[in-house]
Amino acid sequence: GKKESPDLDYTAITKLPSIYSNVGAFPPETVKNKMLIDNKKETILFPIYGYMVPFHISTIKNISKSEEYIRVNFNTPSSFTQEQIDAGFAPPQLMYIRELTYKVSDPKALANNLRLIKDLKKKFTTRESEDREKRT
Amino acid sequence: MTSVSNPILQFNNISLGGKVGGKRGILKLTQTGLGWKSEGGKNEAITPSDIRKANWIRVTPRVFQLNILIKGGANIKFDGFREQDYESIRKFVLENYSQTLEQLELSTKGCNWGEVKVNGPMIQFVSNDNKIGFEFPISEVSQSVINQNNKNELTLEFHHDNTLDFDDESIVEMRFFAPTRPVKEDEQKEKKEKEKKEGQE
Repeated sequence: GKKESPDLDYTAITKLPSIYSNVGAFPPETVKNKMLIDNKKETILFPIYGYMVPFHISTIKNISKSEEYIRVNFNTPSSFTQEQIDAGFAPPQLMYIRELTYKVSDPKALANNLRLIKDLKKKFTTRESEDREKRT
Repeated sequence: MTSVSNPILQFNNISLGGKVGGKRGILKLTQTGLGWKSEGGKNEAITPSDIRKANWIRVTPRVFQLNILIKGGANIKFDGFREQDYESIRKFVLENYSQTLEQLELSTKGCNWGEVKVNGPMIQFVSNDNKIGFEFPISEVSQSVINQNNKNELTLEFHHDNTLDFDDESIVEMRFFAPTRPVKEDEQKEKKEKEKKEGQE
């Protein structure tokens, strides 16, 4: 059948609503030195140079660890279409984040972050495929 | 009624923003400028004539940042303010440094794409609502590598931050990707002709 995309795909360069209305709407336990998995919003907040940056779980392809490092791979399209460029969605400086690597020295936090992100990814993927089946 | 403003404004538990680690210290705003001193003896001073812009940014639900853009384009960030500190700082900065304290919002889009902009010494990742998602000074990059097999991929490695605590989770590497763009028709024609020529040789 026809391949359908999920309702909100945060890798797609279309006009998407913000996940949070503003930083004040981040989970209250948010701190600037630790990643935070927000299951409600299906979003991970990553600390990048003193700011907390949300990434929707649909942007994440996979996550792995090696020693005390966590590596997050993101979904990226291989090319822009002429339609996307004509519509003004792809200015020349537009880039995708493909990978983030973090040093997490605390082994407990490392294992916990890894598990929570994997669980959320699994849950999201399952729901997505169920939605797709329902539509067909 | 006239109000006389306090000539000194002082805040405790203020750390330098823009990074994860860092000691806390005392920030004093006086008529001659801003001075920050940590317990470890580190300090930072800004004179009023160097201030280009003063911004107020919420960095977490509870913590606010005073972000000072100085001459030359560098940003000096102070973290650890509460929401209610805004009014006193706004007033002080306006009366003593003739600067309007502007409230800036960070991007909360949740996308992994954005415009990468070079703004003085800062590299900024900006979402399509023109809000900054994150930024870092170019001096934080220890190495930048373009993938030899995929020229559209750029890897940035960051300097090790030696101010980190054991439980700080810090970014060590970031990889950007620029999707390819369709080649315009005449360019394609040119390329094909060139390939044809090369094939004949």
